Amino acid sequence: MSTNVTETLQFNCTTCPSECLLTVEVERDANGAVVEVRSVTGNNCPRGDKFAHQELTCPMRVLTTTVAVSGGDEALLPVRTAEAIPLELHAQAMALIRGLVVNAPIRMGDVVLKDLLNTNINLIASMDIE
Amino acid sequence: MTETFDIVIVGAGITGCAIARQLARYDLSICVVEAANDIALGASKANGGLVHAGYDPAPGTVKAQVNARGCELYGTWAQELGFLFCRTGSMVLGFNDEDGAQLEQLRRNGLANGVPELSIVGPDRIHELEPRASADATCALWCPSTGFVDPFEVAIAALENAVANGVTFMRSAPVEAIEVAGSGDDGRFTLATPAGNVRCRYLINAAGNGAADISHMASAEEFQMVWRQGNIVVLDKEPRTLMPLYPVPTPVSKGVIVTGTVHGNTVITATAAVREPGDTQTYASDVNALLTGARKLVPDLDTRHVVRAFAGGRPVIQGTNDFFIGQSAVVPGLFQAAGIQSPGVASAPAIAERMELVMREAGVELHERADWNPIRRAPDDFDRAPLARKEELIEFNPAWGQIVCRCETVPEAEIVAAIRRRPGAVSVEGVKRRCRAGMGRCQSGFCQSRVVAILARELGCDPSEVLLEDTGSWLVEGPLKGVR
Amino acid sequence: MAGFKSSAIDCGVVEAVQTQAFDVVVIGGGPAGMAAALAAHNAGAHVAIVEREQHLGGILRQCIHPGFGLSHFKQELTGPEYAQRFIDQVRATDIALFLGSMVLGIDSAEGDPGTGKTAGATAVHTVTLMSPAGMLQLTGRAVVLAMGCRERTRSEIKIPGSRPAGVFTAGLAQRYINIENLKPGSRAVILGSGDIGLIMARRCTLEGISVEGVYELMPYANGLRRNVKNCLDDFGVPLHLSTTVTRVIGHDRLEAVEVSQVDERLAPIPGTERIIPCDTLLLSVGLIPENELSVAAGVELDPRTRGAVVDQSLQTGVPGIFACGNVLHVHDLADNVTTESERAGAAAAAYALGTGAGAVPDCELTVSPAGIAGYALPGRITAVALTKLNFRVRRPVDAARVRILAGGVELFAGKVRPFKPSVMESFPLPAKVIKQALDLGASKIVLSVDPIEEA
Repeated sequence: MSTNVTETLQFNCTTCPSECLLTVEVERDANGAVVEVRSVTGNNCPRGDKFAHQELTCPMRVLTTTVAVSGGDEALLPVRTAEAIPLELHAQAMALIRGLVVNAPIRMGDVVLKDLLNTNINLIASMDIE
Repeated sequence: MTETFDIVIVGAGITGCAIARQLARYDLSICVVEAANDIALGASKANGGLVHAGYDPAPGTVKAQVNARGCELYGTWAQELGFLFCRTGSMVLGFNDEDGAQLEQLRRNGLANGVPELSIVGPDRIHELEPRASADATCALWCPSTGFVDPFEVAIAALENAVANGVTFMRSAPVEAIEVAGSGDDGRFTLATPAGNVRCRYLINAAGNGAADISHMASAEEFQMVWRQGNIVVLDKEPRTLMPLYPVPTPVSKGVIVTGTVHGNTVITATAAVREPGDTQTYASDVNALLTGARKLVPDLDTRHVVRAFAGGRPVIQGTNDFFIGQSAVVPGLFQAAGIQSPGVASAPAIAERMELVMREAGVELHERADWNPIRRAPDDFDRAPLARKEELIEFNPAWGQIVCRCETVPEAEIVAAIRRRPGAVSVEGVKRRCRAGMGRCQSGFCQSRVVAILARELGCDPSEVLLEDTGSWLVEGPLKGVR
Repeated sequence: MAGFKSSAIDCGVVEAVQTQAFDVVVIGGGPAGMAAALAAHNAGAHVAIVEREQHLGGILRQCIHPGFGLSHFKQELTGPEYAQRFIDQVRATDIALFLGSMVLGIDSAEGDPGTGKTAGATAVHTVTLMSPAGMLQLTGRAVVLAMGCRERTRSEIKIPGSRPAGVFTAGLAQRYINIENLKPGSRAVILGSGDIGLIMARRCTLEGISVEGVYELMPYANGLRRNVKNCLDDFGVPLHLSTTVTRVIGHDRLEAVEVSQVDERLAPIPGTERIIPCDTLLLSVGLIPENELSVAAGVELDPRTRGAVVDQSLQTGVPGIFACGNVLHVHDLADNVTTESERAGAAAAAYALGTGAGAVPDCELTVSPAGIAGYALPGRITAVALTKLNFRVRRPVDAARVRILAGGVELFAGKVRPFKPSVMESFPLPAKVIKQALDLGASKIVLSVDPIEEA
């Protein structure tokens, strides 16, 4: 495995408002895939370490967007994924959500779409709509 | 298909609208044909709204005759047509002896032009009249008759009154060709427009920057227009409205003037540079020149809070600085009101009066109508209404209590009224010019989407068809969600 | 002469308008107004909220992105969720709600003899509002200003060129996309790397509007780092620093913008112009507290924040009028708005109910910024007590420290650390430092942020 390369990356942790600047040493194989996260420094708490590992293997983000509403006092319902989903799925999720229509009334937390793209994560309402 | 009128007026700028209003009292069928989709979209919307008193034009010129007279007429016009007009008086500020000599020259010009009550005043009187005028000013020409208006409001009010008296308004009708038949023919002129053809016995050219083209199409006088472009800046409202303050004029322009507006803002007007015809861009150098020039007159002016910067072209006829108002020497029956650059706003009522005289002298029969109504009732302005009237309006229709534009306090019902007036607003900017929604410091950041929704509802169209101004100025595409 | 009118209360007909009395009237039903109202309610005051929109929540309703609540609720919420939590709390109380109601003026009985009202023992403020139900007046012993802010416009930053459709403030575009279900265009350029600009870059990209780039006048990004990462880096949207829009092109609809690089003095460098075709330009070029109502009510503003000059209890120069949230100074996080507004609400209730300690000021000190501190808040200190000072730096620095000075003497020096303009800093000023300043005979405390390399 002598073709593996080690590189040093810098990015901010976004877990909390402190936004620690992380310095991450990562080993990649010939195809650029992450073999090992060698070290994480710059974090002021253990969440930074966890974040860096996740970020280099499969970055996860909460997706927020809107869904068309029928019969409500608003045209759109703001929605979110209940938990973060892989960033690479966001475009596919948006294509799916574009055609959805939900009926009012809706309460914050109501499930708009179950198990979004087999992630086991639900798409939920962010707000009440009468 | 082709409708025939006694008179067709080309151009719904302040000149065309004033002429329409003036002639509407006579037993004539009149049509105003406008290239754009609304009133006052050319030079009439790109000026500072000043009703100059008339001491600038060289005595003996047409300008000299109509400017002072126009300024005088504004009092009556404002009363009859229900638009705001503030006759505050103005000062031309001088900063040295050389300026003082020029002020004396201006005063004599003014006297010759019939401008009333002009006097040269010193520093004490200057600061009594306008405490914010520069302390460096050593002398000033004090002119009590100067005032200011909202130029769109004047044009809109004049045309509304004309339309109420039977005048037809054709918008989005740029004249593409003019056919001229034998003189004396009731249908001597046939104008081709994309909105249909119109025929008339008498044609009035009030086409602003398009005046040379119209004259050419009618095979009348050949002349060239020069686009003397000006940038203008509007500042936020002040606790006290400023009196118009002028610098000593240059040979081509009155220089950078600072003035209050009828709505309490401050306007800095205008630069003068010959640019490509149609160029309505603002330029960083012009805007800086305006702000610098204004601070010279009013040193404590807060020039940081620019509400709006805009630009337009003065319709200047190449080779003359004067107006051309009269019957064509080449094509009888064609009447020209061309080269109406500054002071076009101030002169508008007098240009209309003069046009009437010219037509009468040319043998146009003018019989007064018994049912002519000179009065146009100003639409309700919620922001200016006393509290009791506000209550009454809301009780009459709750939409008067539904705020849309928070900067200028414009409720929904006022916007609906602006759209339903005749001729009404058909665009977001048209709404703004009629009731000020979006005119304020946030420049429609908060209310634009609501105005779009109201326009779509009232005009029976989709929001994607609502225009900011004229054709092509779409604001939004279709929906994002609920579509596959 | 058309004098300036502040939609003024017409005295002759005041009797015609219905009046309702409260202890505290809160103007604005966004995060600031709701937090202030809840705090005042919890302190035992009879409270009203006046809100222009039909719904509580303010601008949070259109901020559908996550990033809210990390410090207040210890979990990441979207804007609507953050708002809904407060809406639910407000709805569970007897706080009176005046929705769809726009305040036209605040009239204080004291110091305004023109109203012809008799001044009571305490100032009573009359808030005149309009709504589809009619005109109404609310009286309050205390008023909390919580009207938020507005966006700077193209005109304020003087971008030359033409004036076509398609130039939007970022917040207006956000409203079209997130509330109105309307697509503002297909190909966007964003000017300004403030948080709204960054967030809109992601929203546009997700909604199928291509973002050609984010352009920033300054040599650094103006928004939070998390937003640069999650909104630009995630989607490969380029950020062009030290570059600005120098011309708007297109007569009817926007056709392109001209961008230019700028020098150290932020002036465009001739010869660096590039034309970027686009049909939409979003402006995220700063926020301005919306204080027209405050000024008309006689409240003095700090030219640096463009918000009210307040004391430690967030009371403005007009007794009984308090201010909080973005109308006071532009915050970085909604959570900080909440915390500040809870203080203002509690102080307003204490004032209204007469339960506040120190109705008579202990002292009178002003607070001024120095060094790279752009402002310092509160501007007045009237009590010898632990005081939360807020400030922002004007430019990013790797190493600087906060110093507190009075009468030329350094009373306190903080630890050396980096500072960023995107962060609203908070600094606890101990009571003993205030005491020291008073002992020195000082009338002014200076909060100075001094970069180390320059020290």
